[in-house]
Amino acid sequence: MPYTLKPTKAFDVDNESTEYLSTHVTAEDRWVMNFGPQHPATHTTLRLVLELDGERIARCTPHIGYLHSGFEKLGEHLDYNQYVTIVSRMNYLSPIANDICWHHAVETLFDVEITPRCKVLRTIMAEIARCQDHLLCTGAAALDLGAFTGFLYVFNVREKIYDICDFISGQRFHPDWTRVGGAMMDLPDEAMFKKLVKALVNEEIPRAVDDLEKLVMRNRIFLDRTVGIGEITEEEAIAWSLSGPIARASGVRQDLRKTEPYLCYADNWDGQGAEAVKFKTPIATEGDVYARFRVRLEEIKQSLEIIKQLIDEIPGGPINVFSDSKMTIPPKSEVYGSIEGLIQHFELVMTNRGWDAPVGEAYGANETANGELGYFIVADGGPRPWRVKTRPPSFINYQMMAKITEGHMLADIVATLGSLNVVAAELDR
Amino acid sequence: MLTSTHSSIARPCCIPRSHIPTPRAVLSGLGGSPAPLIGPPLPQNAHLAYDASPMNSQLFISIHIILIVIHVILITVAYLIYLERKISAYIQDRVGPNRVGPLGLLQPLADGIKFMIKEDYQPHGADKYLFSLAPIAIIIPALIGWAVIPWGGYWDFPGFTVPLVGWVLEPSRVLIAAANVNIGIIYLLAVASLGVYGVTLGGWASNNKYSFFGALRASAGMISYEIPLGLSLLAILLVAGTVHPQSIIESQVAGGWYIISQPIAALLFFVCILAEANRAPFDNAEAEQELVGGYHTEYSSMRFALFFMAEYSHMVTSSAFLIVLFFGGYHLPFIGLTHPAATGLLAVGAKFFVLYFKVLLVISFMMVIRWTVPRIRWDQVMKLAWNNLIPAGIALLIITSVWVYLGWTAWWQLLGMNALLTVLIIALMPLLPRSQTNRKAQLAGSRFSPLPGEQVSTAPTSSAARDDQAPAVPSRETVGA
Amino acid sequence: MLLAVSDLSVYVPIGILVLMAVGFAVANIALTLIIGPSREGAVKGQAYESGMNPLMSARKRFNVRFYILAMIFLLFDVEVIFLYPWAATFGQMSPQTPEGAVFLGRIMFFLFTTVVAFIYAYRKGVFRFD
Repeated sequence: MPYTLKPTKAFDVDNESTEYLSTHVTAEDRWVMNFGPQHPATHTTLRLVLELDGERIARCTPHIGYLHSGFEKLGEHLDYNQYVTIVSRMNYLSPIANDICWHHAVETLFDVEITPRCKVLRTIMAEIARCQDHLLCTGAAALDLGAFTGFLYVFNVREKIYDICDFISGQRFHPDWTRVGGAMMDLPDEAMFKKLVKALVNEEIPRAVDDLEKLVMRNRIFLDRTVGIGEITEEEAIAWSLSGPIARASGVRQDLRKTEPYLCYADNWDGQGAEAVKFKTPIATEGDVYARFRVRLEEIKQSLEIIKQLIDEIPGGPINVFSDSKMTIPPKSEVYGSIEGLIQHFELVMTNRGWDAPVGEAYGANETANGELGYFIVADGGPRPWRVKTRPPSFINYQMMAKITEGHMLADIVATLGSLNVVAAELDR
Repeated sequence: MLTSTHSSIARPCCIPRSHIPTPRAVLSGLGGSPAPLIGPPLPQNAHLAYDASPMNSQLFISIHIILIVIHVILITVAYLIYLERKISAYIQDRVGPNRVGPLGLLQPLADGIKFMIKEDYQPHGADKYLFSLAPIAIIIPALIGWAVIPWGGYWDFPGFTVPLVGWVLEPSRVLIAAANVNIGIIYLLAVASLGVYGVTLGGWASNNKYSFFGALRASAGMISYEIPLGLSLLAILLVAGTVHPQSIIESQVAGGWYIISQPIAALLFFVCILAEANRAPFDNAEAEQELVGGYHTEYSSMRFALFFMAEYSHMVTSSAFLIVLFFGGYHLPFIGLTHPAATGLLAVGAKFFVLYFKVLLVISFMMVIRWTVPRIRWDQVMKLAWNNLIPAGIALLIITSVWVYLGWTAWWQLLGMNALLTVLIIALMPLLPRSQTNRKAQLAGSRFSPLPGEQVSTAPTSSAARDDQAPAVPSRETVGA
Repeated sequence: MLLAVSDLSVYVPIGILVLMAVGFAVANIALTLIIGPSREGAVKGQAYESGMNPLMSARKRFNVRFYILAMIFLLFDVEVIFLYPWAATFGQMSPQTPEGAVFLGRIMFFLFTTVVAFIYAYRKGVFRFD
């Protein structure tokens, strides 16, 4: 081709429409890099294999399997009460939400209606767990962008939530609080519980959320880093079966608390015509990292509203639906103080005894902080399930990772990963 | 060996005590009109006067200043790390270091010992010589940058005979600075440019991808921010008419601090020194959440400590320059002891502490910024430099030179010029083309953001990504330097 | 103020300072080499890449964009350096003199060429930093 001295587009090259320079790069010139599993921003053991063109991500391949613990297989060896200790380990951000969801599924299998008192307490704890999860996620969103301070402001409050978990169950981190048909025990001191929850709901969480909002919500740097990053459209969210705040940030009107109500989210939850708790489900339409951040912060506020409606209305009565202690482990004072209690305990704890479950299949799902968490149980009648399948929200949401990061920069990986709030323990059940 | 070519220049005589200005006199010196300083005017080129002995007074004092100030700076650097941890703790509602010694005050010592007894490891793939050279290359510019800062102004040296050798140092007026060179500010720019070598070499020599990314980001960022730094300095030099730091301070005392008359230049300069020292929000080179450790990922023990100390020494040096150029250096209004015309020993000490205290204030402000704002992404950092700061700097330079030509150099006239420029920038902002910062680029081989018309394949495009098997562990023999 | 100084004694302290900085760095590194432990290992010698085996060498061609940026920087930095002597001298001149006007006019032309070069580079998309 003859060389012309006068190119067709000499001076007036448009800044935006100029072809991206390194599209001439062949694939073998790309940089290939591991991002994780031992990386500060992957929070846990995730691994992304990135093919980089300059700082742009040409291809992002998520790998999982670095935190495999055989959680689902363990479900076939532990009975319906024992397995709650495993499900809470699947989610180290808000373990009590997993406890509640697991026994929701088991009670669906058993076809048990729990007592109103238990429903209220479980609803309160589920909403506290939602706050717990969102507080970490929104704080980590700031942390991943380099704002360490905002993270610690909201992380402080989680300590108070641990105090409440400790108070009701005796364990800070993994409460393992629920049991089939109720909870491991009633509140040790109802007035104290109310006091703790009210302090949390009225002062501590609003203050922390307010601090975080002031720090980053309208910060120009934060906006530049999050707006338009990792966009998911409504159609994509439905097609990839996303759920929870990630789907709602893309405009999907879906919330299990509204569409398939359970606990106190359903009308007539106490059998005497009580109304369902009133709350709004925040929806955003942009579908980017910033929209997810806003939706999560708004959900915290709505959770606080729910807790405020319920905390003064805790009904009396038993917390366990099985009052004959055929299915509930008797209190320790009875176990050590009377022969009947000891036998009762023995019957329930021995692996070849216990009670028998109905034969059948059941799926129970809750709206947890990350989205729809479901347990599918196949029961063959024994004290243990034949098979437990988990529908973890993070695993489904994490599929989007490659799609929404390709074409963005290396630094946007951390922002996107933080906004998806991936819990690695849920990826490898 | 040192022959004097300036013997014709009269050596300044001592200023009598009565000429130390009263507060009232200094107050008049701060006014809009350039009122003459109290006392005899400093002779032209006073700082160039030397005599023929192998050791003249200025050299003698300079060496002592070096010996004192380098220790002050090294101890300051050690305690800046403590200060940073305390400030971050107070911001984040924590306690901070409080275990070692009272209030944790011995923490820097413990850190130093820990750095010393850690293993100094070098990965096999690293370039042996460059890997060792990088920490040295970064600490040198960090430790020599402050040489031209006049810590205490002029001092009337009373004369001294060095024992044993018998060199007679005659009474003269000396500058309390490590080097009384007349290129002053240009020396700062030269040394600041050298700082990029250590980062680039360290990142490249490590044979680590995170380090390499950090090095690229740092080198691109540091060189880009040198240009607005230079432009903002030019705006000061035009008004001051000198590059000698001491003369710049004197002109500020006479005509008002330059933070008042050139606020845009001060802002540009502050942003640039943040970027030059790799401080947040421009700490992309060592972004922990993206690049683990950035350019010093592979460094350990004392070599890592040298990188660390270099960052903090850069902060000290650049803050000192910010103070000298914009905040009147060692001068405090209404305090006669800090006036340039006060040349007693007490005045020198007072000036040193005033400058030191101002530097600490600026550094604390930098730390508060670091623990408050998120990090700007790398491309946004670069766009800020090239699309915003450099055009603003050029505009400031042009308009300042016109103002200087017209002779409008009183502080209110320059402030008006800055206000005019701000209005112009705000008015022009909506007319400029906006670039989409967070767009998705279309890339060959991408599954979800491919080039238009490209056949999308789901297999990895690069053979390195395809081959997920562990490669043979490279040994020192096979990789080599 | 930018007088040529043949008396180089003012630079002696800077030389001393450089020597002290080098000595400080070398002494520290030497000390930690002596005091610190030293153990070798095949896996220990690998470059850190999030705990996995490195997928490829880091000694590879990289995006050309950095090269362009370095060239543009050289251009601008040299121009800024040219401006320093002018700025120091121009600041000392008495205002509104004919010589001053000539001084100003020349440097304005110089800056004009800079601005044209800047706009050209901008339109070429050099400052997009993708």
